[in-house]
Amino acid sequence: MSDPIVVTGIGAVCPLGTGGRAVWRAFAAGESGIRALEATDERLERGVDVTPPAEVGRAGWVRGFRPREHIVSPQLRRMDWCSRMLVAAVRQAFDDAVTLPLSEPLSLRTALVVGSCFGNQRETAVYLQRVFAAGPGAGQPLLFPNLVLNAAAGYAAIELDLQGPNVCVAEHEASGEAALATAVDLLSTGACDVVCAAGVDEIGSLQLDALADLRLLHPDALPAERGARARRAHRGQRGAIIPGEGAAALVLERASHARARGVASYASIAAARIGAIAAPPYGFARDAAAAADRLLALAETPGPAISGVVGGANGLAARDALDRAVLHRLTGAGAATLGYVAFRRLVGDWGAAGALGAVLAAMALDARVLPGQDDGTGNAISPAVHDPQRLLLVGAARGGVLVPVVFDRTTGPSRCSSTASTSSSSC
Amino acid sequence: MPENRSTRPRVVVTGIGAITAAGPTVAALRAALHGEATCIGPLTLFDTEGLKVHIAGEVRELPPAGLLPRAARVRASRSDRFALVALEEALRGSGLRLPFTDPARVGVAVGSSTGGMLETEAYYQRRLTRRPAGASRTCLAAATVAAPAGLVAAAIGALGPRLSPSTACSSGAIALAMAASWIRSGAADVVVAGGSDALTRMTFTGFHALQAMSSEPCRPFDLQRRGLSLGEGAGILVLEAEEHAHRRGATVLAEFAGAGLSCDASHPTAPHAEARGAVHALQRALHDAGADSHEIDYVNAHGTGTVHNDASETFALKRVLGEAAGRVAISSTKSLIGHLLGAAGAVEAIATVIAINDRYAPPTLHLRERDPACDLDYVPNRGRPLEIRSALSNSYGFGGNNCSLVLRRA
Repeated sequence: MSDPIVVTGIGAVCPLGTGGRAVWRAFAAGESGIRALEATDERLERGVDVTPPAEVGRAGWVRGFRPREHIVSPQLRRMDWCSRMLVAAVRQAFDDAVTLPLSEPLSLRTALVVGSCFGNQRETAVYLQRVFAAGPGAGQPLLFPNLVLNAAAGYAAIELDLQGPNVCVAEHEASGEAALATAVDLLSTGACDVVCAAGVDEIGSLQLDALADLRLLHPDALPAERGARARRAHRGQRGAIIPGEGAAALVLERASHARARGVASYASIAAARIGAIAAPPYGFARDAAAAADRLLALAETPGPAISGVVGGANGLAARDALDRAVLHRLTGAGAATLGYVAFRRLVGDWGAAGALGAVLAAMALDARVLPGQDDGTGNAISPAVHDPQRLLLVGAARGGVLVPVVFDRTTGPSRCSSTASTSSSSC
Repeated sequence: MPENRSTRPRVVVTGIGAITAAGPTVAALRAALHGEATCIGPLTLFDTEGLKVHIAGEVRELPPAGLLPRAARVRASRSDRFALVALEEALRGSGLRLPFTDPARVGVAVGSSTGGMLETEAYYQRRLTRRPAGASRTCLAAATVAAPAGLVAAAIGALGPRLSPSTACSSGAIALAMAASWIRSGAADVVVAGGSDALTRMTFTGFHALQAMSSEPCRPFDLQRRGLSLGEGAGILVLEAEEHAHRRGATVLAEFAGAGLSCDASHPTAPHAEARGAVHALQRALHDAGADSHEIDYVNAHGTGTVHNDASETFALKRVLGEAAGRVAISSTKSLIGHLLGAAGAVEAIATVIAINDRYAPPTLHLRERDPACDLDYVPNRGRPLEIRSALSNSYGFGGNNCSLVLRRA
């Protein structure tokens, strides 16, 4: 591609920390964001979340995030937790891309695409509780507008004056990757000059209840007593998901556009495509090898060989099998030093976590290293890969959806050493 | 590189399917558009005791969908079933036969604002009362807004691009816009696209709490309008590359000429004071279609019947169409079938295709006294013959989301 699409800004609010560089440092150090929530946790800030810790075990709770440090809009007091995470991540990304404040012509040509699987769960539960308890007339006018899936995208547009296309997409476990692919489409068709691709989801009691009911939750994610019961009744367990939450955002633009603005890039996107393979309704494709073949065919694009894979394994047998099949196909093709990270092991699983995977892939290319990963007990699963040239983000969801995103290293200066960035933290 | 309008593939509509309060077919919708009676009536789907509003455009007849996969028979939500009923009709009309010869070239884009929320509510109610989740648990698989698109794809074996836009009331329109972009970029030859939404307690009580609903069938653009009437249903269109359609001898119903997306970036629910987002969406749609404002003969308005929307939309149309706004026929078909939320943009695009083909401007019902702030031709109460070259269909949603579509006579 003569004028590739490049990543010029990143932002993240997730269990590994707040801010792209803080998240990268924790990721590179192999830290885990899976933890139990404590009574003094900032996640329990009054008015933001009321999920009592006693009802939840270990999960990928967001840490170190203080919304007021990131959001300037007076709409902050109306924003739900999901919206706060997203708006902060999007602001970080635009700030990192040196676009703020957006000029009038650029704000008209700047789009936002947000992926989310469930959106604002906590307030949905609160709203329904009240309606069921007190009757249909008890609907709360201040909560209701926040219950639509695109509420967070709307708040982000208000915060930063993003007047271009504003799209929110859902694709189950691949919602983040689907947002990236849609953002690339918008840029490619000329619908915008700059686009922020983002993903957000939160942990909510409705989702936890449902996952527990369907026996898909990892026993560690349940309160101690229920977890112990679940371990004893292991036979009935059908999955081992550790839920997580967070938001991540990437600013994308054409390389020529970034150059004209004097901004260096983290990486380029060589391909971001949505396709599918036959699968049962609401389920994952049963043939992981065939799914891997289809995914790699969708990812095919001229350029260097894939150096590493940012996988989406999340504790569901079928989903984990896809990552294994992709690795098997790629190593079978002779990529001896292939790297692999299953980042959801460190942050928990949420529908739009793929956006965080994209942030990590872009930063790995920029930092010239894809960290290795162990199994949590010190045994190496995969080695670190130095000087990676191309990374594959494996997006896949129930219903047979496949969304590979291919990131390439760019030739310019590393953003870690770039002086163009206004971001306060460094790599 | 940005698309070149002169060389990009033209996108055409070759099939339409709809299920609405008017009935489970496009024929029923067409009859409603040609009639003068609203399909909005008493709501029976759930309890509305204690509310001031008890009416909606409820789907009374939900026929079984032959394409419903066996594995989804218990799990499929009401929204899922709407989507499949509309899909079957659209496919039949398009002349496409299953299985597809190249399923990887067939995409699916179906928007929804609440997906399986109606069934999720039942599940949650049981949990709250500490009753066993029982059968309601099986519906959780279809709880997300991505479920209708997934089921449509599974039903027809589509393996091309797939997307489930969820942008509140513009979801269906944005699904159509994304579908067209896939065809133009060469990612797909055919895309089954549209929107589906069922009435839910959450949306009904929510709009009621916002005091945005009317206790009588909505009266868009009327001085005495009191708010919207909710509805439910699905609209599915088969969009196709023109060359692909011609190659297989398909009947072309209309050209999907262009789309414009924008965001107000000003308020979570209220339109911008100067309708800037609506103006940008209209301008972008016309630009995308390569259309001049004088080419537009009909507008299917968002026309919810709320005070702010109708005046704001009128302002935007006047701003963009200029002097042509005065001669353009505008109607809000929400007065006939209600506001279908995530399905509205798709069903209204279908109404627009019908209008183009029938050379007919559908009416805006219950328009007795025009609001001075709404001073255009809204085709009050009775439809009329109209030669339509090109038409606009507007959809606006929470979050300041705007999408305008341009459909053109084939």
